[in-house]
Order: sequence, then C-alpha cells, then structure tokens
Amino acid sequence: MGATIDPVMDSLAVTDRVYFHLKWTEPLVAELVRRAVAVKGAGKLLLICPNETLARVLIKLGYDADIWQVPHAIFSPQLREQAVKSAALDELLAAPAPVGGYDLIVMPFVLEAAGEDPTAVLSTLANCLKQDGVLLVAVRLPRPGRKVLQPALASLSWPLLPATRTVTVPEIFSASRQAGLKVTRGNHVISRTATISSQPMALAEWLRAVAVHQAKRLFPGWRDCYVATLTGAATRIP
Amino acid sequence: MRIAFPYYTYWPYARRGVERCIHDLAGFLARKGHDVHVITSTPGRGRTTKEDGVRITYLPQLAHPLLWHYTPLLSMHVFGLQAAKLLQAERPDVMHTFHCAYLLAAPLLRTMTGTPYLLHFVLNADWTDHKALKRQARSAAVLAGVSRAIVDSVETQFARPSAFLPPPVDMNFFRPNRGKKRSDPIVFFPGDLADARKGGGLLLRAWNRVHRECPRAVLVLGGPIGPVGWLPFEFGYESVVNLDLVEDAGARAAIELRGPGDLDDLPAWYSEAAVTVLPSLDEAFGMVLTESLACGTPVIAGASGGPSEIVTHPDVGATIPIMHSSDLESPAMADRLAEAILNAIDLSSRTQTSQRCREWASQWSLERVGMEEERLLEAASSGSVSRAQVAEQDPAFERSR
Repeated sequence: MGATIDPVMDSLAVTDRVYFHLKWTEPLVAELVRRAVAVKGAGKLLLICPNETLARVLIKLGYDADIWQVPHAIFSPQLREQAVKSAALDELLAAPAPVGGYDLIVMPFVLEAAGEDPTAVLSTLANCLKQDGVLLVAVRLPRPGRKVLQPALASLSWPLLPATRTVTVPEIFSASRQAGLKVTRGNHVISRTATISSQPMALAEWLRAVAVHQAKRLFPGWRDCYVATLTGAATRIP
Repeated sequence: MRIAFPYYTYWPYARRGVERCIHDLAGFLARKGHDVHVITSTPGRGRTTKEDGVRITYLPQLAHPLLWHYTPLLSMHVFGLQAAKLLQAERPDVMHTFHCAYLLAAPLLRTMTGTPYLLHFVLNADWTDHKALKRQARSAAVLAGVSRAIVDSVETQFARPSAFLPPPVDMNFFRPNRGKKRSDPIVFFPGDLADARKGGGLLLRAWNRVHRECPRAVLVLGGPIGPVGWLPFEFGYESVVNLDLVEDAGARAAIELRGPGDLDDLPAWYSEAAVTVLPSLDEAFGMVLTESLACGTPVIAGASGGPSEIVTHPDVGATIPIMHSSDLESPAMADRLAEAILNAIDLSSRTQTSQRCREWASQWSLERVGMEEERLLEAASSGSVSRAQVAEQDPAFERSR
C-alpha cells in the first residue's frame, strides 16, 4: 500500500507539519483504501469527511468521488473545490443525497460525531447506496481514561469532528441491522503510527508510545479503532 | 550564471518569508536565463523536480520525536552537510545563502571550490553571536539585509558595507483580482497560527471588540499552523489556536479557518479582504504586508522590525506599538489593535485606497528587487566586490535609507 500512498504524499502541497500529521494517519488510510479496492475496485464513491491523503489516494485510484466536508477541515483548495457539500456534519448528513447513487461510501470517525444516533445515520446513508453498494465505517473505540486532546480550532490529521457519543462494536452491529445493513467484515485496526515524527518527545514518553503501539499490534482488542464493511442485507460481496 | 540557493526548508513545506523570497527570486533569475538550483529538504522522499525553470533538489529530512526533543538543530546541520556535498560536486558560479541556512561549510566551500556567496540576514546581526556565523560573514562576497535596520546591524557587527535586499513582491501575480465584500468586510490574518510571535492570540482578543462594533465582519485565518521541530519549544503550539480568547459565540462563528491554502489562492484572499492584519513582534520584514498592499488591501501590523519600514503612510494602513512579548497578551494592546482594524475597514472603503496601496507596494516589486539581486550576484561572482559596488543600489532604495 506504501507504493500507492507514498507518491501521493510526495505530491501534497501541504506544510511540513501537516505532512507529518497526515503521515501519522497512514495505517487507517491504508486500511480503508485496501478495503475499498477489495470490495469495489471502481465506481461512484462518496467520501464523508476524509483527510487529504485518503481523498487523494482514492481519486488517484480512479474512483469517481464526491466529497462531503466540514468547513474547518485542513483541505487543499483543489479538494475543497471538489467537495460537493461543505457544511457542519449534521447538516451534511441531514441534506438529501442521491438515492441509490453510490457504489461505495467511506466515512471515517463520523458515526461518533453525528448528532443523530448511529442507526439513523446508517439508515440515511444506506439509501444512498446502489443495490450492491458498500459502506466502510471507521469508528474510534471508547477507552476508559483516554485523554482526548483536540485543538480547539483545527486538526491537522483528520477533520475536526468532536465526538458526541461513544460507539462500541456491538452497537455498530445492532445499528447496522436496524438500518437494513449487515457487517460483512469488521476488524479492530491501529489507526495511526506510534508517534508523529515532528512532535518532540522525551525518551520515556517515546518508549511508552512505542511500547503501547507494539502491544496494540499483538492484542487486537487494545486497538483504538474499528473498521466495518457494511452491505445491504441481501448483498454478497467477494 | 549558475546560481544555487541552499536553504533547509522550502515551499510548499514551509511558507515563511525566506522560502517565499527564494521562490520569487529564483523564478526571476531563471526567467532572466540563469541556471538556478534550489537545494532544500523534504519531510517525504528525496527527489529533484523542476518548477518554472528552477531546478529543486529535495534532500530527505531527518525527523524523529527524540531528535526534536534533544537536538532540534541536528536536522538543520545534517542538511547543511548534505547540501555542502552537493554544492562541492556542482560548483555553482555563485550562491545566495541566508544566515539561518545552517550552511556552516560555506567558507570552506569558498576555499575549496572558489564559490562566492551572498549572505542574506533576516534577523538583526547583533542578535547572533557565534563564531561559525562570523566566519560565514567574513568569507561572504556580499552581505545583505532584508530591512534597513538589519542592514545597519550587519554593518555595525561586521564592519563591512551591507546591501539592502528586501523580499520582493511579484506585482503581476499579486494584483487585485476579486472585489471586496463591503457589507461583510473580511479581516485577513495570514500569519502562522501556532507562532505566538505572529500575534494571532492578540488578534483573537481584539476580535471581541471588532465583532461587537462591526457585527458583519468576518475574520479569516489563512496562515499555516506551525512548522515542525524547534518552534514549539520557544512559543508553544497551543497558544494561538485557542478560540476561548473569543468570548462571544457569535464572534466565534464569524471566524473562518482556511489554513495556508495554495500560493495561487493568495491574491484573491488578499484582494477580497478589507484589511490584512499581522500584529507580530520583531517581524524581520513582513512579506505578507507588501503582498496585501500589491492586491490593493491596507494593512495593520506590529511596529517592531520590518513592518515599521513598510507601513509609513496612513493611506496604506497603520502600525501599533507591539514592542515586547507582554504586549501580545495585553488587553490595552488588543483594544488598540481593534481600533486600528476598524479604522482600516473604513480606510479600505475609500475609492483611492486600493490604487494607493498598490502604488506603495511597487517599491518592493520583484522587477526592482530581482534586478538588484542579479546585480549583487554578478558582483559576487566576479570575484571581489568593492564597497562602491555594494553601495551602488537602486536609487529608490538609497533614497529611502
């Protein structure tokens, strides 16, 4: 996947700090791209609140992409122009979208930030899928005692979508079922690299970050993110 | 001439004045038929590209959390060594380097390969007191400064004449190309949001009053959000991107974060703004101010450093006396800034302002500064540069000294 993502990273006209924050998100970007290619190699794609790398890689792979983006996302002017909708998340999800228009919808970290409950969000988006369409959902998993450090105004990695709820894995299954979708594949994934290369760290802090990352690799249940592939209840995918 | 610009960071990865200055001067010299090579570093993979006739070599950059914590300058020095190796092989006719380019081997290169260089200061020379820089200054064919105050400090520190070489503004590229929104005036902040010295925090404080008195005004934040590495140690990342400084929810809603965008966006962003604000402390020059003026938009800036040499006429804006770091957090200074912004919104609505601003910016036009750059590099590459050659500046520059 590096062979696909690296040339895109090299061509991004972003500042060095944004570059390193995007690099930090590469494990999840790679996972979503891998799954997208596996389930739908081409077609009409809806990206809801992607970051720059995810959007560019999927566009480069030939998808005909519509982008819905929130206004404060750090997004290049070219992609901002390509965004068919730009509004607060709940407005994006509430506005009518083409029924049965998309082969694939990819939505990282949207479910936990939406004002509506996951069942309502998934139901709305299920209507936008073609009959054999696929929905890729990435959710940050709740962790007891986890400190969420979000800058007040901007996020350089993923668009800033403050979580309004926690979404657990059983809730994803149950919300999908109620929305007429089924989870055909779901995995705990590591959403980011151990550290951001540009972020200064003392030795103890760095060792801790690397150790935690290694532990996540060994124990999937400790991973910070869950990615689910959802299809219509009657759809079979390869 | 074969001209090299070695500098650690470059567009698009860093968008400060020096990088822009190199970008514009390199392009100008390439258009004049010179063979121009920018040697820089990249957070990604090393590569060579060509843009607008300028060859750009991106050397891979060292970046690691431990490195930034324990030896934040190591990455720059490693770049200096890599660049020196490349320059030794390439042997350009002349180099244009900066005092902060970490090219400590420049004097050695001059001895080994005979490559003369112009050493450009973007900070007061008396702020820097280390031997390596003094050696660089002694071996330089030409010394130059981006502001008149810096030129004076270089001449005092090194007892040598120094040329005045301000960053240029490309008047063809930066021109009014979008109408101003008179009913919803835009206050544009193009500074780095994470660099407290740029005064973003002071502007957010001032925004409370600006919004109260001009509720339809919109604050557009169009700067980058921090370079990597060393800067957070000095200034902190989180200090500016803090909307809590804006008390009223309505005032917060009237803030638009655009981020740095693309170079091609800037003329429109400046043009549509009623005023560009850079309430910074110790600004070396203030390139965004001349760009804004070229787009017909008045400016408000901190009075310390370069802006005090740019904003010297009330027709084009005003400066406020930000002279100490405590001023950046002072409610009284925030109030002065708010008042200056409100006055500038009024100024921008006058019919002659746009034209007057553009005329004013032409003092720093790329054509004028680029010719001066070419003259100085030619003098440097000819071997020895006389005091008279350095002093033989564009009369407009000399008049204003």
